[in-house]
Amino acid sequence: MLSLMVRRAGFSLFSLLVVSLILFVLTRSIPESPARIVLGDDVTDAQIAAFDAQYGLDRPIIVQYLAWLERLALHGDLGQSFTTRLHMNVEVAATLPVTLELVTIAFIVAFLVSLTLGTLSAVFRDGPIDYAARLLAVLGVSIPGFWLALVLVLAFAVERDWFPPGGFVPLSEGLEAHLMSIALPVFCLSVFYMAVLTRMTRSALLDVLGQDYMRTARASGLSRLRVLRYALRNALVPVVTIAGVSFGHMFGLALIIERVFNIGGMSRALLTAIQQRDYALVQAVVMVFTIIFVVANLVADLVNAWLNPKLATS
Amino acid sequence: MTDDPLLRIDGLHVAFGERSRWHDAVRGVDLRIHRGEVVGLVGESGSGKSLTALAVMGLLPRGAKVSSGRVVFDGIDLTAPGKVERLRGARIGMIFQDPLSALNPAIPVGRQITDSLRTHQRLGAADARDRAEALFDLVGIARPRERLRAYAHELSGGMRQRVMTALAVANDPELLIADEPTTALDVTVQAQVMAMLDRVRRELGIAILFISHNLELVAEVCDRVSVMYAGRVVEEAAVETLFGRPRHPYTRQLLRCTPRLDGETGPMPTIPGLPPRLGAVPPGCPFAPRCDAAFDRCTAETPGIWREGPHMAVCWEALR
Repeated sequence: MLSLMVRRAGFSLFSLLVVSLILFVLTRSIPESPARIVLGDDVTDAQIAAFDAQYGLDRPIIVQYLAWLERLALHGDLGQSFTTRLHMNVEVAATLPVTLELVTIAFIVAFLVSLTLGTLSAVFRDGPIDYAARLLAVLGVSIPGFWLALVLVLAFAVERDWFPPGGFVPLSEGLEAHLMSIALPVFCLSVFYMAVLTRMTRSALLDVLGQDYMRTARASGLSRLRVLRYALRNALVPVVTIAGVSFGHMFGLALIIERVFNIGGMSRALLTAIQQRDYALVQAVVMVFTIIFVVANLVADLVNAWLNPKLATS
Repeated sequence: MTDDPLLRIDGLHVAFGERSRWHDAVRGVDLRIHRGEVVGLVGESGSGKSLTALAVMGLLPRGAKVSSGRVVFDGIDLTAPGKVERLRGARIGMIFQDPLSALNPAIPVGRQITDSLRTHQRLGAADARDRAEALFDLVGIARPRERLRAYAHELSGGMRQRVMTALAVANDPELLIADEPTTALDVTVQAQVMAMLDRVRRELGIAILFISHNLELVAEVCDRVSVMYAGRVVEEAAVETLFGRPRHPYTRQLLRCTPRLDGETGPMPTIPGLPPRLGAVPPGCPFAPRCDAAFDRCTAETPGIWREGPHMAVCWEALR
C-alpha cells in the first residue's frame, strides 16, 4: 500500500511537471509582448524592451520556465500580474475558496445522490425506480448547465422570489442567506455529474451482481443487505475513478455557473486574465486547477486501492 | 432416522426464456440423496447438471426458472418461496467450479467465512475468527491465522478451492453440492483437493452431490451415479454397477471416451455429433441421432424405463 502511494504520488508529480511545461510554453507562444497591453498601443520599442527586461521576458523561454517553476515549487509563489501588479497568491486566496466551496458541495451532493439512485436502480432493475432513474440520468446529461441555470433563475428567482437571482453571500453574513445564495448554483453544477455517476453506479453494480462471487455470497446465505455491501465494495471502483475526474472537471463548469449567478470565484480571475492577456495570471489559475485535478485523481486512485487490494498489486 | 432421503428431486423442469417463450433446459430430473451419501451427477456440458444444482440452491441465473417439479430437503419444499434462503450456507453448502471468480476479490477470504458464520450462528467476532481458523485447519491450509487475512488473488488455485470448501462447510451443512470442484485446477492439485474433500466428508458426515464430467473422479468418490443427457437423467446405478454393466448406450460411449494409460494407443474415441440445442430436442430419444445402438423405435417414441433393482436406464435398447 505504501509503495503504491509513493508510486502514484510520483506519477502525479510527473504529470504536474509535464502540464506546467506545456502550459508555460503555450501561454508564451502568444505573439505579442504583454508590454503593448499594459503600456498602451503607442508604446515605443525601447519601452517594450525595458518592460521585457524588467519582467525577465527577454531571457530564453526555458530559463523563464525554470525560474517560474522554482518560485512555484519552492515558495508556492504563483507570480505577479502584469496588469494590476497584484500578487497572484492574493488573488487566488480571495477567489479560490468560493469556487472550492461550490464545487465541493456540488460534488458531495452529486456523489451521494447518484450512489443511492444508482444502487436502487440496479437492485430494482427494470422496475419503476429504475426507469425513473434512467430517465433522469438521460435528462441530466443532455441539459446544458448554463441553460438550466438561466431557466432556474427565471423560474425561482425572477418569477418567484424563493432564491436570490445571483450574488454570493459569505457565510459570515448568516448561514441561511449563505445557503440560499449557493443553492441554485450548486444544483446546476451537480446535475450533470449526478446523471453520469448514477449511470456509472447502476451499470457497475449490475455487472458485479452478475459475477460468480455474488452467487457465492448468496450461496453462503448472507442477508440481502450484506450481499449488497459485498457488491458495492467492488462496484465502487469505476465509480470512484469517474468521480475523481468529475471533481476536477467540475471546476470548468463552475466558471460558467459563476458567471450566470454573478459569483466572484475563480471565473473572475481567469476571465479578466484572458481578456487582458495577462499570461502570468492565466498560468497561475490554470496551474491551480491542474493541481486540484491531479490531486483529485490521486485521491481516487488511493481510495480504489483501499476498496480493492487487487488493484494495488497489479 | 427414517429412510426418507435427505434431498429428493421430483420431475424438476428448469426453463429459460422470457414472457411467453420458454424452453426447458432441465426436463424432468428425478434424484435422491440420502444422508452421508455421495451421489455423482455426470454428463456433457449443457446437459443440465449445473442448472439442476443451482435450482436446488435457488440460485438460477436471470432468465431461468423452475417451471415444474419439486425439490424437497428434509421435508422442506425448497421450491416454495422464502424456504431455500434460510437453508443456503447453513444446511446446504455449495462449491463452485472456478474458485478465483467465486471468491470476492475485494474482501479478505477470512472475512467472507466469518460473515457467513455470523449470519447463521450467534458468534462474537473473536469466536468467529477462531472457528474460521479451525475450518482452514480442517481443509488443510497451513498457517491458517495468516491466510485468513489474504485475498483470493494472493492464493494458489488449490488453496482457493480449499478456502471455497471451508466457506461451504462453515456452518456444518448436511448436504454439500460440489459443482465441478476440480475442473479449473491443475491435475496434480486435483488429486489433493479430492483427498481433502473426502476427508472433510468423513469428518463431518456430509452428503455430497458431486457434479463432474470426469468419470474417473466419479468412480473414485461416489456411492451412486446419475448420468444426465439433454436435461434428463438417462441412467442411474450404484457406482460399481454403472461402470461394470452400463445399460444406456450414452453411458457406454462416455466410458469409452475416458483416456487410459494402460490401454491401446490410437486416436481418442469420441461421441460424434452434438447434444440437441435448447428448444430443439428431437422427438423420441434425444440421444438417438448420436447413438451407436439406435433403431427405429428410438426416433419415434419417448423411451421407456428399464429397471433392475436400483439400476435404472431410460432406453429402448435396454428394454429389448
